[in-house]
Amino acid sequence: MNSREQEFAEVALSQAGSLLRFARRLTFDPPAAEDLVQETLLRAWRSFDQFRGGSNARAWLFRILLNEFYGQGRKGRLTLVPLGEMDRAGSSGNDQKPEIAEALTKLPHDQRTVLMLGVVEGFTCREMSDMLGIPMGTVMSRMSRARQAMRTQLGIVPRATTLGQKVLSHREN
Amino acid sequence: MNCGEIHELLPLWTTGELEASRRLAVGAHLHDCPDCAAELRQREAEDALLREAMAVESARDLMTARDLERRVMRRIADERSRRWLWPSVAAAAATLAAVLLLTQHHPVQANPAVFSDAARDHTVEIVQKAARHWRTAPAELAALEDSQGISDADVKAVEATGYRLERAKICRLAGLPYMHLVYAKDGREFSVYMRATGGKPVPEADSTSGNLQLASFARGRVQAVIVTDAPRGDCLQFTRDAEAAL
Repeated sequence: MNSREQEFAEVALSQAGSLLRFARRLTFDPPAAEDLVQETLLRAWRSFDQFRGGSNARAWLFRILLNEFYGQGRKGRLTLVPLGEMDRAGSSGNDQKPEIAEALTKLPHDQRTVLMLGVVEGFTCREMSDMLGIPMGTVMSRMSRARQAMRTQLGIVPRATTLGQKVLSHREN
Repeated sequence: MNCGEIHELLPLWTTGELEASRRLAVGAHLHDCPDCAAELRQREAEDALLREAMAVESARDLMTARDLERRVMRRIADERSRRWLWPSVAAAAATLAAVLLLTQHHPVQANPAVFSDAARDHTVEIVQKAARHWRTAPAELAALEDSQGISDADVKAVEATGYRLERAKICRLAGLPYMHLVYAKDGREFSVYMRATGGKPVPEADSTSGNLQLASFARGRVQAVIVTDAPRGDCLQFTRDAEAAL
């Protein structure tokens, strides 16, 4: 491995786990998610010269992944799974947080995307706006609707019963 | 600001994206309004649980992620070592003169005649199945390898990737001897013209034409020219496998 490949491994390959987690939630198809991440990383490698050291590598990689995902969707290689037909294919059999995983699965695609990017991956609204090519206000409204939908799925009344209490109760049962 | 406005700004408050004046205003409101403060705490608790749920999945996916990293690095190494791949001999004829066979350790000047001769040889001997004295017995193959300074391990290495070595003979490309090995898989045949590295430069010759796929690479102790009438994807796959094996 030469020095440039070493740098790429540190900057980009180290994000394979995060990219895979996100890709699974985008595709609901584990093999397709792996292919998507592999293609993302190869595209990143081919444009690594354009990446400026010190800039946000994660945002750069997630943007490539989203572009690749939507590009494949346009070419018919990947399809967005219609609401109601989703199973837990993308959840890797997670059984410790079934309520949350299930609720996330049932969110509309655009809401699930901002919730994953913002809450799980820690991107700012500005970064999500750049990544998705939508105004910040749209990011915030999608995030708000996603939260509301999660609460509805989980049967949470805002500020009367917290999700934490609900999960604790579930564990005790 | 009223509570509705505060709720709208909570995402920016959480990520630290509010400018100073609004940050102060939201902070003051949260300090004075128990409902909004409770809403913020609830969101933070929900976020923490969501992250925790996804972290469980991350642990499960760790092995897959490591495997992906290895696959990507292998592809990067392949791309580094691959010199070129031509879709057809006709296209190749126009570009042959400009192509260099580069290898990390043994830079070799490309020669168009090698590829045009290889294409012609494959067409006559494999596509048209002209009668030739092919060697198939292990002892005969070993003798051919010895005569060309090619390691039996290199020949076997390509076989180990799932392609069966069918037969072999010596041929001449651009006036120089090459070992012509024919590998097969799923009814597809691939000619590999193999030569030990370090030989003298090959002379110029005419190119040819036809509907063939060509590839070449130099790796380790050998340089190889691949010709097949199989589809481009199969040629790419074979080249990738052979390169990785050698």
